[in-house]
Amino acid sequence: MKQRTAQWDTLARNLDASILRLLPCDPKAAAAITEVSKASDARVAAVAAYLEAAGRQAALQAAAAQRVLASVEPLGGDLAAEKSALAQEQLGVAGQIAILTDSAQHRPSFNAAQDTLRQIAALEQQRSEAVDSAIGHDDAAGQGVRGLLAQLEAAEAALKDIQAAFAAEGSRWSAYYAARLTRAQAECAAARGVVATPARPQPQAQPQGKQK
Amino acid sequence: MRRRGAAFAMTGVLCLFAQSGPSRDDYRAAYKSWREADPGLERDAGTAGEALAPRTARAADAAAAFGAARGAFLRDLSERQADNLQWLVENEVQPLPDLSPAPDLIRFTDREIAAVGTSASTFANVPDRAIQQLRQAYQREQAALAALRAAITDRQKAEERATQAALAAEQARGKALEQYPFLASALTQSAGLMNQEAAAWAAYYPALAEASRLASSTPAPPVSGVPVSSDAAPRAPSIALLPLSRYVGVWGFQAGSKFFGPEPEFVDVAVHEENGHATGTLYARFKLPPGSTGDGVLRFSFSGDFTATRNQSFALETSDGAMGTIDLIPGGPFNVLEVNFNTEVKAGKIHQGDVLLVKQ
Repeated sequence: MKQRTAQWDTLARNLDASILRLLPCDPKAAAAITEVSKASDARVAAVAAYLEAAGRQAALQAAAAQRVLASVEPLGGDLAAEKSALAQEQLGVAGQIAILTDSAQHRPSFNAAQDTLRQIAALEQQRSEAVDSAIGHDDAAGQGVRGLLAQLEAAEAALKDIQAAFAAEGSRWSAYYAARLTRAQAECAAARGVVATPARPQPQAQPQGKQK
Repeated sequence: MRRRGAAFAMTGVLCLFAQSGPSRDDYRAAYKSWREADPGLERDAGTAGEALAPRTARAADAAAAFGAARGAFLRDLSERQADNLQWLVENEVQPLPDLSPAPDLIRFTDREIAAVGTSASTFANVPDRAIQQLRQAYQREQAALAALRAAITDRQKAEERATQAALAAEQARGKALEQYPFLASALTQSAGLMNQEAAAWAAYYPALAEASRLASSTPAPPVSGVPVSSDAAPRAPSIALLPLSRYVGVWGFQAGSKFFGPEPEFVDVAVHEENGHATGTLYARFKLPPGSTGDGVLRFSFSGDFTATRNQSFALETSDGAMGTIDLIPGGPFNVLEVNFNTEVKAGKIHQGDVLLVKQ
């Protein structure tokens, strides 16, 4: 794409200067305009292909963000359920500690088992704190992903607009170079003092001055 | 962060988002099965003796099944969010490069429109038909240039909208990235803790079976079920200068209590005594300075003989093999114990601390 753009840019930049050096009816003038027109078409095609690829990538990215959001949105419910399940597990361990304390009757042989239960209770408490932390960040993370998705969708839509606008621009460039060529032919006719008959309507055809 | 060259860069996405995985129902069923299998286990532990062993073995199996199901569920939850975080980190949103600079092209069309217009007006009053046809050619070219200019302007506006959307998307990605690491990290931590808990359950049931076996041959102390947390409690043999109840028991750190060195989040210390010999454990987590990658968790066990001194000093060994000492220093109030410890220095590990604990 860069190469096509550079080629067109060089030709377009030098077009007027190169034509000025030529006589009005020198065939090199029409050839120079046609060459720039073809380079313009090639550039437009390359940019359009790039935009199409970018559009596909934007659509994929928005779809991926949609999947992330679909994974984040139910997390609030998951975390609430996690908290509830954990509370039940903590209750279970607390009950085991209480019953074992009663049945152990301070016999040292139970120390290891009791210590392990307390360690489990401490681990569950840490797990509960971790879930609290996750709950504390879940909403904001979800909002961020929702915002990202909305903007990716806006960017994707804008890319489609660019593609459409660039396609329209491409046909305008073609029309401009056609008009430029017609002008060159009119300059030649005027230099020869020849009057062209009105051109018959020809679909897609560039106006061609008919010489008498 | 990896930069992508292409506009709206995309990484390969997403086998990451498969939603199927271990279900909550799986671990709930395992939990129910475990808890309902032998609810009298701890109650009977004091008297069952060796008969408890097969029951603890069954309970251990059920606990392991629960631990596996619970761990799998938490890992799945954590991994999905970790995948999301990775996607967020990698998928930077970049605006389109300037493919066809509109301002340059608009300048070109403006210049040409002016030049062609000037040429056309030059021949406005020349009656020659050939010249008039040339003037008309100039006018058609001028119209084509004006249409081209309008098309370039339309495309420029669409590009501006796309750029604004890309910048806003990047800001939203940044906002999500401010929160997501905390979320993913909390879930990862939760899954890791569940692994530790499963390991602890695996240790608990054999310990319970062994305790029951030993207890069947050891009568309970004459006074039982009375906490040793006050001076009114039965006193242990007076090996130290102070009653052993000033050292023995379960001690915990309370928020707001005094400490020196790293600030504790929690500290649990258990001290046991048997025939003048102390054994105990410390399990603690300390707050680390912001940005620190160290490990704030500390576990160690300690043992040694009580001595006829106020302060008791014992040898300790941490869970990762560092050696050190712990001093138990009875506080002013009977239910306060100062714990001072030092271990060998290991990179990223807590190696010293001094905290006031309260009897639990």
